[in-house]
Amino acid sequence: MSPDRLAVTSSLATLRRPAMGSRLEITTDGSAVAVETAAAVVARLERRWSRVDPESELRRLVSAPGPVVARPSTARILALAVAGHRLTDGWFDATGGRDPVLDAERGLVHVAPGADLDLNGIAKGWAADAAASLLRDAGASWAGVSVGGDTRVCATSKVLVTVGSPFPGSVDAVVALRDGGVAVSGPTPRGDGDGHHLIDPFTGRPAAAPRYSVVVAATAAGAEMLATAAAIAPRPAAVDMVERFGATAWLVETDGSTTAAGDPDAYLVGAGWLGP
Amino acid sequence: MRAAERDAAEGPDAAEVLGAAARLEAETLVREMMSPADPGPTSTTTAPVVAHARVS
Repeated sequence: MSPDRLAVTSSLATLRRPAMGSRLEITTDGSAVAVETAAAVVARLERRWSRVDPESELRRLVSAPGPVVARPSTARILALAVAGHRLTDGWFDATGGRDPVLDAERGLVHVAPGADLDLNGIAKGWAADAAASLLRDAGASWAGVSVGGDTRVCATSKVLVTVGSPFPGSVDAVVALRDGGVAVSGPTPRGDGDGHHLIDPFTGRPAAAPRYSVVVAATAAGAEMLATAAAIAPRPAAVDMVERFGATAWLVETDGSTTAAGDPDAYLVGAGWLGP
Repeated sequence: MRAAERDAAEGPDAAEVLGAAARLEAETLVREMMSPADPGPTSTTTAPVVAHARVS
Protein backbone atom coordinates (compact mmCIF):
# COMPACT_ATOMS: atom_id res chain seq x y z
CA MET A 1 0.00 0.00 0.00
CA SER A 2 1.41 3.38 -0.95
CA PRO A 3 1.84 5.74 2.00
CA ASP A 4 -0.65 8.30 0.65
CA ARG A 5 -3.50 7.11 -1.44
CA LEU A 6 -6.76 8.76 -2.39
CA ALA A 7 -9.06 6.71 -4.53
CA VAL A 8 -12.27 8.05 -5.97
CA THR A 9 -14.97 6.15 -7.81
CA SER A 10 -18.27 7.50 -8.94
CA SER A 11 -19.85 7.10 -5.52
CA LEU A 12 -17.07 6.48 -3.04
CA ALA A 13 -13.96 8.25 -1.86
CA THR A 14 -11.37 6.53 0.24
CA LEU A 15 -8.10 7.75 1.63
CA ARG A 16 -5.32 6.05 3.52
CA ARG A 17 -2.44 8.14 4.82
CA PRO A 18 0.05 8.07 7.69
CA ALA A 19 -1.13 10.25 10.57
CA MET A 20 -0.49 10.68 14.29
CA GLY A 21 2.10 7.95 14.37
CA SER A 22 -0.35 5.53 12.80
CA ARG A 23 -2.78 5.63 9.91
CA LEU A 24 -5.69 7.77 8.83
CA GLU A 25 -8.44 5.99 6.91
CA ILE A 26 -11.44 7.77 5.44
CA THR A 27 -14.30 6.11 3.59
CA THR A 28 -17.24 8.22 2.46
CA ASP A 29 -19.66 9.08 -0.28
CA GLY A 30 -18.54 12.67 0.13
CA SER A 31 -16.47 14.53 -2.42
CA ALA A 32 -12.75 14.13 -2.91
CA VAL A 33 -12.33 17.80 -1.99
CA ALA A 34 -14.12 17.22 1.31
CA VAL A 35 -11.92 14.18 1.98
CA GLU A 36 -8.74 16.19 1.42
CA THR A 37 -10.07 18.95 3.66
CA ALA A 38 -10.84 16.44 6.39
CA ALA A 39 -7.36 14.93 6.03
CA ALA A 40 -5.85 18.39 6.30
CA VAL A 41 -7.69 18.93 9.59
CA VAL A 42 -6.14 15.74 10.97
CA ALA A 43 -2.70 16.79 9.77
CA ARG A 44 -3.09 20.19 11.43
CA LEU A 45 -4.07 18.61 14.74
CA GLU A 46 -1.11 16.25 14.49
CA ARG A 47 1.31 19.14 14.04
CA ARG A 48 -0.31 20.93 16.95
CA TRP A 49 -0.36 18.05 19.45
CA SER A 50 2.61 15.92 18.46
CA ARG A 51 4.57 14.62 21.40
CA VAL A 52 7.72 14.16 19.35
CA ASP A 53 7.76 17.13 16.98
CA PRO A 54 9.82 19.84 18.75
CA GLU A 55 7.81 22.50 16.89
CA SER A 56 4.45 21.28 18.14
CA GLU A 57 2.37 23.40 20.48
CA LEU A 58 2.30 20.53 22.94
CA ARG A 59 6.09 20.47 23.16
CA ARG A 60 6.13 24.25 23.55
CA LEU A 61 3.74 24.01 26.48
CA VAL A 62 5.75 21.25 28.14
CA SER A 63 9.04 23.10 27.80
CA ALA A 64 7.81 26.57 28.80
CA PRO A 65 8.94 27.69 32.29
CA GLY A 66 5.61 29.38 33.01
CA PRO A 67 2.11 29.93 31.69
CA VAL A 68 1.77 30.41 27.95
CA VAL A 69 -1.11 31.33 25.71
CA ALA A 70 -2.46 28.24 23.98
CA ARG A 71 -4.74 27.87 21.00
CA PRO A 72 -8.36 27.45 22.10
CA SER A 73 -8.45 23.93 20.66
CA THR A 74 -5.39 22.94 22.68
CA ALA A 75 -6.73 24.48 25.88
CA ARG A 76 -10.00 22.70 25.22
CA ILE A 77 -8.54 19.26 24.66
CA LEU A 78 -6.43 19.65 27.80
CA ALA A 79 -9.54 20.62 29.76
CA LEU A 80 -11.35 17.60 28.34
CA ALA A 81 -8.45 15.32 29.27
CA VAL A 82 -8.52 16.65 32.83
CA ALA A 83 -12.29 16.17 32.97
CA GLY A 84 -11.95 12.67 31.54
CA HIS A 85 -9.46 11.87 34.28
CA ARG A 86 -11.91 12.93 36.96
CA LEU A 87 -14.95 11.28 35.42
CA THR A 88 -13.18 7.93 35.03
CA ASP A 89 -12.09 8.04 38.67
CA GLY A 90 -8.51 8.53 37.57
CA TRP A 91 -8.26 5.51 35.26
CA PHE A 92 -7.93 7.64 32.14
CA ASP A 93 -4.77 9.71 32.56
CA ALA A 94 -3.20 11.90 29.88
CA THR A 95 -1.11 14.02 32.20
CA GLY A 96 0.96 11.57 34.23
CA GLY A 97 -0.73 12.69 37.41
CA ARG A 98 0.21 16.32 37.02
CA ASP A 99 -2.71 18.16 35.50
CA PRO A 100 -1.90 21.37 33.66
CA VAL A 101 -3.22 24.53 35.17
CA LEU A 102 -5.69 26.11 32.80
CA ASP A 103 -6.84 29.71 32.88
CA ALA A 104 -9.82 29.52 30.57
CA GLU A 105 -10.52 33.23 30.71
CA ARG A 106 -7.07 34.27 29.48
CA GLY A 107 -6.34 31.17 27.40
CA LEU A 108 -3.25 30.38 29.47
CA VAL A 109 -1.85 26.92 30.05
CA HIS A 110 0.85 26.11 32.57
CA VAL A 111 2.36 22.65 32.50
CA ALA A 112 4.25 21.69 35.67
CA PRO A 113 7.98 21.02 35.19
CA GLY A 114 8.57 17.36 34.46
CA ALA A 115 4.92 16.71 33.62
CA ASP A 116 4.38 14.15 30.91
CA LEU A 117 1.54 15.20 28.65
CA ASP A 118 0.43 12.49 26.28
CA LEU A 119 -2.70 13.35 24.36
CA ASN A 120 -2.61 10.17 22.29
CA GLY A 121 -5.43 8.76 24.36
CA ILE A 122 -7.79 11.48 23.21
CA ALA A 123 -6.21 13.25 20.23
CA LYS A 124 -6.75 10.46 17.71
CA GLY A 125 -10.40 10.14 18.60
CA TRP A 126 -10.81 13.90 18.59
CA ALA A 127 -9.26 14.07 15.12
CA ALA A 128 -11.53 11.30 13.84
CA ASP A 129 -14.54 13.14 15.25
CA ALA A 130 -13.49 16.41 13.65
CA ALA A 131 -12.89 14.82 10.24
CA ALA A 132 -16.13 12.83 10.21
CA SER A 133 -18.16 15.84 11.31
CA LEU A 134 -16.60 17.92 8.55
CA LEU A 135 -17.56 15.32 5.94
CA ARG A 136 -21.11 15.17 7.27
CA ASP A 137 -21.40 18.96 7.23
CA ALA A 138 -20.03 18.97 3.66
CA GLY A 139 -22.98 16.86 2.57
CA ALA A 140 -21.81 13.25 2.85
CA SER A 141 -24.63 10.86 3.65
CA TRP A 142 -22.14 8.54 5.30
CA ALA A 143 -18.55 8.79 6.43
CA GLY A 144 -16.20 6.59 8.40
CA VAL A 145 -12.93 7.97 9.75
CA SER A 146 -10.34 5.98 11.64
CA VAL A 147 -7.20 7.48 13.14
CA GLY A 148 -4.93 4.85 14.56
CA GLY A 149 -7.95 2.56 14.93
CA ASP A 150 -10.11 5.09 16.82
CA THR A 151 -13.19 5.37 14.66
CA ARG A 152 -16.07 7.79 14.14
CA VAL A 153 -18.97 7.27 11.77
CA CYS A 154 -21.56 9.84 10.76
CA ALA A 155 -24.38 8.66 8.52
CA THR A 156 -28.04 9.12 7.69
CA SER A 157 -28.71 5.42 8.26
CA LYS A 158 -26.98 2.45 9.84
CA VAL A 159 -23.46 1.69 8.67
CA LEU A 160 -21.11 -1.08 9.68
CA VAL A 161 -17.79 -0.96 11.48
CA THR A 162 -15.60 -4.02 11.68
CA VAL A 163 -13.70 -4.46 14.94
CA GLY A 164 -10.38 -6.14 14.39
CA SER A 165 -9.54 -9.12 16.60
CA PRO A 166 -6.22 -9.09 18.43
CA PHE A 167 -6.33 -12.88 18.77
CA PRO A 168 -4.74 -14.73 15.86
CA GLY A 169 -7.20 -16.99 14.08
CA SER A 170 -10.34 -15.42 15.53
CA VAL A 171 -12.97 -13.53 13.59
CA ASP A 172 -13.43 -9.78 13.53
CA ALA A 173 -16.61 -8.47 15.14
CA VAL A 174 -19.04 -6.15 13.38
CA VAL A 175 -21.08 -3.34 14.94
CA ALA A 176 -23.77 -1.21 13.32
CA LEU A 177 -24.57 2.39 14.19
CA ARG A 178 -25.72 5.58 12.58
CA ASP A 179 -23.58 8.09 14.44
CA GLY A 180 -20.91 7.43 17.02
CA GLY A 181 -17.44 6.32 17.91
CA VAL A 182 -15.80 2.93 18.28
CA ALA A 183 -12.50 2.46 20.09
CA VAL A 184 -10.46 -0.55 21.10
CA SER A 185 -7.82 -0.59 23.79
CA GLY A 186 -5.69 -3.42 24.98
CA PRO A 187 -2.24 -4.77 25.80
CA THR A 188 -0.62 -4.56 22.40
CA PRO A 189 3.08 -5.27 22.59
CA ARG A 190 5.39 -2.28 22.76
CA GLY A 191 7.63 -1.63 19.80
CA ASP A 192 10.69 -2.43 21.90
CA GLY A 193 9.23 -5.80 22.79
CA ASP A 194 9.24 -4.94 26.48
CA GLY A 195 5.71 -5.56 27.79
CA HIS A 196 2.71 -3.48 26.74
CA HIS A 197 1.92 0.21 26.68
CA LEU A 198 -0.97 0.44 29.17
CA ILE A 199 0.21 2.26 32.27
CA ASP A 200 -1.58 1.97 35.59
CA PRO A 201 -1.98 5.65 36.56
CA PHE A 202 -1.97 4.79 40.25
CA THR A 203 1.37 3.00 40.19
CA GLY A 204 3.04 4.54 37.16
CA ARG A 205 3.95 1.02 35.99
CA PRO A 206 2.53 -1.22 33.25
CA ALA A 207 -0.94 -2.40 34.26
CA ALA A 208 -0.74 -5.81 35.92
CA ALA A 209 -3.73 -7.50 34.29
CA PRO A 210 -4.93 -5.46 31.34
CA ARG A 211 -7.71 -6.64 29.08
CA TYR A 212 -9.06 -5.70 25.66
CA SER A 213 -11.93 -3.25 25.76
CA VAL A 214 -14.17 -2.29 22.87
CA VAL A 215 -16.33 0.75 23.51
CA VAL A 216 -19.14 2.25 21.44
CA ALA A 217 -20.07 5.79 22.49
CA ALA A 218 -21.29 9.07 21.03
CA THR A 219 -17.82 10.13 19.87
CA ALA A 220 -14.51 8.51 19.04
CA ALA A 221 -12.73 10.59 21.69
CA GLY A 222 -15.25 9.58 24.35
CA ALA A 223 -15.03 5.94 23.30
CA GLU A 224 -11.23 6.09 23.42
CA MET A 225 -11.10 7.58 26.92
CA LEU A 226 -13.51 4.94 28.20
CA ALA A 227 -11.74 2.13 26.35
CA THR A 228 -8.39 3.12 27.83
CA ALA A 229 -9.83 3.30 31.34
CA ALA A 230 -11.84 0.09 30.99
CA ALA A 231 -8.78 -1.82 29.78
CA ILE A 232 -7.00 -1.39 33.10
CA ALA A 233 -9.62 -0.76 35.80
CA PRO A 234 -10.87 -3.74 37.83
CA ARG A 235 -13.67 -5.38 35.86
CA PRO A 236 -16.58 -4.33 38.18
CA ALA A 237 -15.32 -0.74 38.12
CA ALA A 238 -14.91 -0.86 34.34
CA VAL A 239 -18.49 -2.10 33.86
CA ASP A 240 -19.81 0.54 36.25
CA MET A 241 -17.86 3.27 34.50
CA VAL A 242 -19.14 2.36 31.04
CA GLU A 243 -22.74 2.04 32.19
CA ARG A 244 -22.58 5.24 34.19
CA PHE A 245 -22.32 7.20 30.95
CA GLY A 246 -24.70 5.03 28.95
CA ALA A 247 -21.98 3.74 26.64
CA THR A 248 -21.62 0.10 25.57
CA ALA A 249 -18.54 -2.07 25.90
CA TRP A 250 -17.17 -5.54 25.59
CA LEU A 251 -14.40 -6.37 28.05
CA VAL A 252 -12.32 -9.29 26.84
CA GLU A 253 -9.78 -10.84 29.19
CA THR A 254 -6.60 -12.30 27.76
CA ASP A 255 -8.06 -15.81 28.22
CA GLY A 256 -10.87 -14.80 25.83
CA SER A 257 -13.67 -14.58 28.40
CA THR A 258 -15.99 -11.64 27.69
CA THR A 259 -18.16 -9.33 29.79
CA ALA A 260 -20.60 -7.04 28.03
CA ALA A 261 -21.75 -3.73 29.50
CA GLY A 262 -24.43 -1.30 28.45
CA ASP A 263 -26.64 -2.27 25.49
CA PRO A 264 -24.64 -4.63 23.27
CA ASP A 265 -27.69 -5.87 21.36
CA ALA A 266 -28.25 -2.34 20.05
CA TYR A 267 -24.99 -2.43 18.09
CA LEU A 268 -23.52 -5.92 17.70
CA VAL A 269 -24.41 -7.61 14.40
CA GLY A 270 -21.47 -10.01 14.16
CA ALA A 271 -20.05 -11.19 17.47
CA GLY A 272 -16.77 -12.63 16.20
CA TRP A 273 -14.14 -12.40 18.92
CA LEU A 274 -16.56 -10.47 21.17
CA GLY A 275 -18.88 -13.45 21.48
CA PRO A 276 -18.99 -15.83 24.47
CA MET B 1 -9.01 8.30 44.17
CA ARG B 2 -5.90 10.22 43.26
CA ALA B 3 -7.67 13.27 41.84
CA ALA B 4 -9.71 13.73 45.02
CA GLU B 5 -6.69 13.12 47.22
CA ARG B 6 -4.71 15.72 45.35
CA ASP B 7 -7.52 18.22 45.65
CA ALA B 8 -7.70 17.62 49.38
CA ALA B 9 -3.96 18.06 49.81
CA GLU B 10 -3.70 21.24 47.76
CA GLY B 11 -6.98 22.77 48.86
CA PRO B 12 -9.76 24.06 46.68
CA ASP B 13 -7.80 26.99 45.20
CA ALA B 14 -5.49 24.97 42.97
CA ALA B 15 -8.28 22.74 41.73
CA GLU B 16 -10.48 25.73 41.00
CA VAL B 17 -7.96 27.63 38.87
CA LEU B 18 -9.74 26.31 35.82
CA GLY B 19 -12.81 28.05 37.10
CA ALA B 20 -15.88 26.23 38.27
CA ALA B 21 -17.89 27.17 35.19
CA ALA B 22 -15.18 26.08 32.75
CA ARG B 23 -14.63 22.86 34.67
CA LEU B 24 -18.35 22.11 34.65
CA GLU B 25 -18.47 22.84 30.93
CA ALA B 26 -15.60 20.44 30.26
CA GLU B 27 -17.15 17.69 32.37
CA THR B 28 -20.51 18.19 30.69
CA LEU B 29 -18.89 17.87 27.27
CA VAL B 30 -16.99 14.72 28.28
CA ARG B 31 -20.22 13.17 29.56
CA GLU B 32 -21.79 13.88 26.17
CA MET B 33 -18.77 12.38 24.41
CA MET B 34 -19.12 9.20 26.44
CA SER B 35 -22.92 9.00 26.11
CA PRO B 36 -24.65 6.38 23.93
CA ALA B 37 -23.94 6.26 20.23
CA ASP B 38 -26.95 6.56 17.91
CA PRO B 39 -27.71 3.02 16.70
CA GLY B 40 -30.11 4.28 14.05
CA PRO B 41 -33.43 2.66 13.16
CA THR B 42 -33.68 -0.99 12.22
CA SER B 43 -33.13 -1.35 8.53
CA THR B 44 -33.62 -4.19 6.09
CA THR B 45 -31.32 -2.74 3.46
CA THR B 46 -27.69 -3.73 3.27
CA ALA B 47 -25.47 -1.32 5.16
CA PRO B 48 -22.01 -0.48 3.88
CA VAL B 49 -18.87 -1.18 5.87
CA VAL B 50 -17.38 2.24 6.35
CA ALA B 51 -14.55 1.76 8.82
CA HIS B 52 -12.36 -0.70 10.64
CA ALA B 53 -11.66 -0.18 14.32
CA ARG B 54 -8.66 -1.86 15.88
CA VAL B 55 -6.53 -1.67 18.98
CA SER B 56 -5.08 1.82 19.21
